[in-house]
Amino acid sequence: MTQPLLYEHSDLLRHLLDSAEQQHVYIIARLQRVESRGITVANGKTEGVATTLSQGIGMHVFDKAGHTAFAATDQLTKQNVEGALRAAIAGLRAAASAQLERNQAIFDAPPITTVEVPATPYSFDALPLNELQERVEAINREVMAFAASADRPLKVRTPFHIDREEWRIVRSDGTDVSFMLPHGYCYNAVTAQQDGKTHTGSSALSRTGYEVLLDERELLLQRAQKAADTAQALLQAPRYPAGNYPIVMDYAMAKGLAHEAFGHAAETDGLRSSILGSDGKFRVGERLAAPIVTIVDEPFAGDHAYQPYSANGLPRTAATIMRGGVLQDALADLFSAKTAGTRVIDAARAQSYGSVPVPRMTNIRIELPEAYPMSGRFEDQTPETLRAALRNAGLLQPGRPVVYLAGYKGGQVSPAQGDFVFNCGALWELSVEGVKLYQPAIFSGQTRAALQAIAAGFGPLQLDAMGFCGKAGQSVPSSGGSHFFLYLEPSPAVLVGGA
Amino acid sequence: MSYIDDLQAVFESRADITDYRINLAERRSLGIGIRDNDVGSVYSPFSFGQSTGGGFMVQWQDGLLSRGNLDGNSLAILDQVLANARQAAYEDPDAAQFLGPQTVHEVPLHSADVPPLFDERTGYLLEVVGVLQDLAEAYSAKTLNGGVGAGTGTSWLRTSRGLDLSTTSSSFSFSGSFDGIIGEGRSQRTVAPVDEIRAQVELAAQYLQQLRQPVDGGPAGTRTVVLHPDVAYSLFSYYVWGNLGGSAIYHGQSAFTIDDFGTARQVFRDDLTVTVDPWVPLGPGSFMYTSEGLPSAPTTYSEGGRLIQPIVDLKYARRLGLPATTPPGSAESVQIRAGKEHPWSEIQPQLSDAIVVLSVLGLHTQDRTSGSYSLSTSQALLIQEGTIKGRVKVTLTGNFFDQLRDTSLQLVHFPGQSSPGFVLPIDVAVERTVDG
Repeated sequence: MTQPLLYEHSDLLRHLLDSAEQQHVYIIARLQRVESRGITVANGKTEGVATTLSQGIGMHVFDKAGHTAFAATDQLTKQNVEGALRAAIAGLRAAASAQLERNQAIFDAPPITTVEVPATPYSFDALPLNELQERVEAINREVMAFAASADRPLKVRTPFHIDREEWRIVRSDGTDVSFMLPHGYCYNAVTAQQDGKTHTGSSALSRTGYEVLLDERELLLQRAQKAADTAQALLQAPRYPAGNYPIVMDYAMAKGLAHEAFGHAAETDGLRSSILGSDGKFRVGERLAAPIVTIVDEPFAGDHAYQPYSANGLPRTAATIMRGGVLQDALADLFSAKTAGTRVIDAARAQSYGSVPVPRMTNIRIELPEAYPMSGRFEDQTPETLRAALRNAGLLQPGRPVVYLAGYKGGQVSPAQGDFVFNCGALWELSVEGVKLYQPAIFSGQTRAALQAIAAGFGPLQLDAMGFCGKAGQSVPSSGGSHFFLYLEPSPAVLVGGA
Repeated sequence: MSYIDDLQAVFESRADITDYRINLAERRSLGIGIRDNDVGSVYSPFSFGQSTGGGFMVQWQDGLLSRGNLDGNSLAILDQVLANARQAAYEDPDAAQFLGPQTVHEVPLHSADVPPLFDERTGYLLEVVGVLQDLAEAYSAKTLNGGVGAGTGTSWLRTSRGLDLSTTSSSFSFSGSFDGIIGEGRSQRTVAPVDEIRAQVELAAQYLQQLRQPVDGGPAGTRTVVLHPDVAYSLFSYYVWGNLGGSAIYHGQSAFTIDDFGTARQVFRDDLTVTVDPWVPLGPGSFMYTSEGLPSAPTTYSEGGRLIQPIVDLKYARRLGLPATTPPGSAESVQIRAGKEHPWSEIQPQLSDAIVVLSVLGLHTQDRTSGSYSLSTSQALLIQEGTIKGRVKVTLTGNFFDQLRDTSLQLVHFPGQSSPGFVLPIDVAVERTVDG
């Protein structure tokens, strides 16, 4: 059998499991090791290089009644790990004494032994650091050269990051699951300035490591050029009047809508205060969106948010949160699936060994059964090609312009009320007469209204919109997307722009 | 020898290292949470943490620099850590600054009432949880989220030039939010008594009933808006502190240029002053020195609305030809002052028509450098004839820099809040939340 990751700590883990057994407590121990390299280049010059290596262990302990407590330490010695276990058990006894919340789901979990290391085109140290630095500097300089005019140079910041995150999760029932999560991404933040006006745009590409700088360099630069062109053009762009319009959003904005406005509301640790919950139960079977809308969350190998096993050592399975507009699966973990009345996805993830895992997304997508075809890659699309596609689909009519929200700059949602706010990188008005650029504007409203308004998709699925999810004060990679573009009919509960 | 001594001994022994700076902190923490009403559940358990963390910067004999992290396992593998760091060495002469001994103003940052929470007083955490549950019940909240926690720690900063600083600090924090709508909390260095906690969190609970009552928000257009201190400081921090960073200014990614400081450009109204005070005893935003070892000091960033200095560390101080400065700590260390300031109790009765904004969504998505924003309120209240009528939902649009120059801007002080709220005219779009 393949040797587990972090094998060198096997004796320590065995000792921990034995110690827990002697104390009559059930334990889930999570050992994590992360090695990373990061480089930041600003305006052609390297401003920082850092290598990090960190590791530690976290432990959830349970008594037979299901009371629980948690402890963590970053010192992987018998003495320190025993100390952490003692602290956890003291917390467990206090929880039992105070009759705090109980949960016995862990005792129903099947034992698993497996090792999962996804294939990556390049190893962590495939590029010497000096060569890595040269490559990131070269990309930064090429993006600076996207300036439209020599007397208005662009300011460009280019961070690159690669890491290898290894987990080994062992449990009192003999479970020993280890897996590796490879991450690699590069950003370009481009600032254009003129006559006291400033605009910053950004682009990103994520894969498992150096391929963003090597095999997919052209794609990285193509995205950066779009960001640079837009930042410069926005210096002259007017504001668009606020209103309820037909909307087209790109796949990155669609990922934002799916993740922020919908996915979080489907997580089972907060259903009592979620619009998708009713008395703590997931509203399975209720129709909450247009019949063409399906929303799925699942991990993909090679994706920024890939995670094949949960923080509890169970397989992470696909969740069809909504099928044909009807709620189906919640993002449930082992501990709250039963209360939520749904099946176990095991959606538990944690940022680090020191974090308490919570249900959360991996790669989430909105997909429609039939999308209008578009030729070429997403990066080949322009407001003009999108306008043509809308005309061909009969969705662009005289006197009824469509607002195209291009690029996703983040968002925020209130799961209790279903309110969301997103921001785009640029707003284009697409009309029968042509296309015109406007300042970015927020896209806000009610989640359910937005999902009801989805009427058409354009192009194949594109699922590499990357981000980081900050739920519970932790930061874990997230990703997702949709068809190249989604079209939404106007809704009184969905607003573009402010006053 | 302690862990920091052992680490330093290795750095000292390396002939290929000419200078180094080591930051290290050892910290213990504990806490318990409330998640969707459940106390001490698998998502909010009694938690105990023990960590050692920090970083280093070294200059090698060839002048190159390296940076890396340190944790509780680093000593055992320090040769490997330094070998990795050597591979990542890069040229950055402006950052290669290693301070010698400094005179530091002593500020108490540790409270003796925190350590007992780890032992004989752990039960106090459950008392606090009980207070939060009582408030939820008293205000008919269906769901409660929150928690209480504490921490103690010691940090060290040492350099090859003889700088040797150490700080022991403590923390205590609590929070409670109701129905996923509104919450309140605080982080401080001493243990807060339950009465104080109740009073603080009740500030949020008192809004609950009003937030449950949607009312017609009135017309769109320019309206008087009251930004609650939490909202006002969030905007201030995002746009003002976010553009005062030396790195952003040097690299041309700020709303301000270095010339703006040389000419003391007027960027805010002429009675606005912004200072940082890191010396408040046991202040949550207080600190004695920066991570580079620069002693902290009370610092003015804007006086009479004019820019005085950017926030610069040693590297950007050298690049910009300015002295390094004390950066802001948390909101409690920052003072925003105007010629006239008023208590909320005085202002509210005078408001014939206004919208009080308690929280906004999407601030982090705005373009920091332009100062422009378009924000949707997640919680806002309508005031008419000095009385709160109920919940409204609006979108706010404007330019924060323009608003800090607005002659009608008023600073107001709310009970239980350290920073001021802002009263000012803002363009609003009103979303209908009631039928009819």
